[in-house]
Amino acid sequence: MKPLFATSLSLVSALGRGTAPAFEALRAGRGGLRRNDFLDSTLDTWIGRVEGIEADAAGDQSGKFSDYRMQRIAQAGLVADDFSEAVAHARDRHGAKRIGVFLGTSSAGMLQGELAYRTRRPGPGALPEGLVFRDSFNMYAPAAFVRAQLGLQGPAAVVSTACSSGAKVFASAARAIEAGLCDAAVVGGVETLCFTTLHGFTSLELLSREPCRPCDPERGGISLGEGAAYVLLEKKDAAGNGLALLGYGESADAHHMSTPHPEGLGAALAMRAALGRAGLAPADIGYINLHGTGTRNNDAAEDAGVFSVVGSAVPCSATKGYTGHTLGAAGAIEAVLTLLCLREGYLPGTLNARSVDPVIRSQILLEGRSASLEHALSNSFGFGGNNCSLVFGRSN
Amino acid sequence: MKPVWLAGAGVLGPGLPDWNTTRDVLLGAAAYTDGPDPNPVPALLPANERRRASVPARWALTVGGEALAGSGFEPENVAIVFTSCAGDSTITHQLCSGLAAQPPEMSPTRFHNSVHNAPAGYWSIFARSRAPSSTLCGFDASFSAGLLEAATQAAVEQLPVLLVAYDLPAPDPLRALWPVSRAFAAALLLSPAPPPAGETYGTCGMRLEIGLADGDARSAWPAMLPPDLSTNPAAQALAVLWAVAHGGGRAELQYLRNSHLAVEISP
Repeated sequence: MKPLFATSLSLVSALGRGTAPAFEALRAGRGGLRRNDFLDSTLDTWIGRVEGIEADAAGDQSGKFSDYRMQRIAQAGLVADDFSEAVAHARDRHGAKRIGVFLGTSSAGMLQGELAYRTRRPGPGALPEGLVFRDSFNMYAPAAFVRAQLGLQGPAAVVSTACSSGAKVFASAARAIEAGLCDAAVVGGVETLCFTTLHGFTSLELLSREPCRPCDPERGGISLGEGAAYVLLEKKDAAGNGLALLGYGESADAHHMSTPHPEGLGAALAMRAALGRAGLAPADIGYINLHGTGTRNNDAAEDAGVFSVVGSAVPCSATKGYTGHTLGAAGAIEAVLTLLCLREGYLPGTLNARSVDPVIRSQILLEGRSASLEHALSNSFGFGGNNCSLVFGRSN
Repeated sequence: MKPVWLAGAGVLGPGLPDWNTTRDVLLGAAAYTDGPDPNPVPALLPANERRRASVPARWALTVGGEALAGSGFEPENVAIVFTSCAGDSTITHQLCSGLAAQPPEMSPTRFHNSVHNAPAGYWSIFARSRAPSSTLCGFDASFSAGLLEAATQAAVEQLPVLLVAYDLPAPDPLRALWPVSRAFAAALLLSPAPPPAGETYGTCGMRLEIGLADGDARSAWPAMLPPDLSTNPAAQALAVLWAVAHGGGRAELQYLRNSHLAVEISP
């Protein structure tokens, strides 16, 4: 594929607001997880929540959108790194109708719906007035909000394929640009902590009771997180740093709804397709940002897939120990972290992993280190056996 | 944008059991008979999965299976784009009701079935396809968003793509927030190439050229179909299917505010 330049990046997560604090945390090996203190939840787990979001001002000034936690997190991402201003300049270059919006989420504003059900009136059981379906339960909610705040009028959609959502939007945007539907796109992901995912992963016995430890022999599951990340993709390198999306690969496992294929067959298909579109060989990849959730099955299956494609020569790490697993935003958050690592020449360590599970054969980085980096790959896999791999690098 | 070819179609709704019946109804060759929403059992699902699979999954797999059947395309080579406005609002209601209880209740099966891409996951598993799979939402324009993604994927990747759109009425109390009252699903199998010389893509074989256009869509709702079906986002598909049934024409599908998809349909 033709490279698409990442001309602006933005990130809000448990690591703070903006790409700078996130990268500093990676470099310092300092995570953002805390013991669960999400609203009135009493589950014994650790979470990566966006600090202070409850005290933020409403992001929407038009009065057309509800002011729920999801909209606040989406807005925090637009403010961070002056992303809105970068998009405004792009709007001047391309025109509002020529910039698309493709966002991933897995739960949109579900939290607001959960809270509304707690206050259902007796009798017919009606929900409280003022709960807006479009801004809460509906998966399109983040794209509706972000498109309006940025004043964009190009094509728009939400991809909701569980934990691969925030990666697959890069593929959708690349196709829309290639087909001529738009000249640039805002891609990203928005995810809010909610009780459905906290209790859902608990019911599947996949929630860790300590900060998640991807690839560690003692790993006990995931730590949930929330956040937003955006990338502005353009055909020309308006930022002048050469950072670009070079390839994407998508596949399905055809195996099980909530367990990955044990040999990582679908994962390997996605990685090979991404390398193929980038015109790169496995040996060209200098770093892999793993999906690396910290569950027993994911990390073993992903390793089998990674090992089958690149062997043990490529340094790999998981960054969910820093941010938590942000589900539908994870692909976008990790794309931004991968781009930061490319820009700064840094390979992050796998936070909280004390040693590498002997069943894992890929080269797992426990400690971060500086390294010159030309190409990197980021993996995202979701429920339903849905896989996406992205290749980023420098392009001239 | 490069054209794509419709190589298969599937339809399911009240009084619309399949594509062939729907075509006859849209042509006026058969009378439309309203009836209750169907309760489909897709052939793709093994017997032991039929009760476990969610209702949206059963609707999606039924129309997807119909579009693919007899098309000559094998599912393992066909990418899928599923699209739905509300997804599985019955599960949404069950999850929220359970979480409002003290202590909160949660079922693991219900949780994994709650992801927006659960029906697409069932398709991959039971059609044994590792081809790319996406699931979209575009609120009221979910069908348009799905058609744009599927056609773009077919044209750019030169890959056959199965588009499946479905939306089912929500249970109370969600119905008050999202007042869709009739169920509907449709599937379009899009090929990047015309059929080989001397062959056809069956009764729905048509060339589709899709573009983005300004202003609201002007395609009229088929007069013989119940007006309340028109509020189902998936029923946008009927504007395309109307033109397909009539051997060609222009379908306009409402997209985002003040914009529409203009679909030029020709043999």
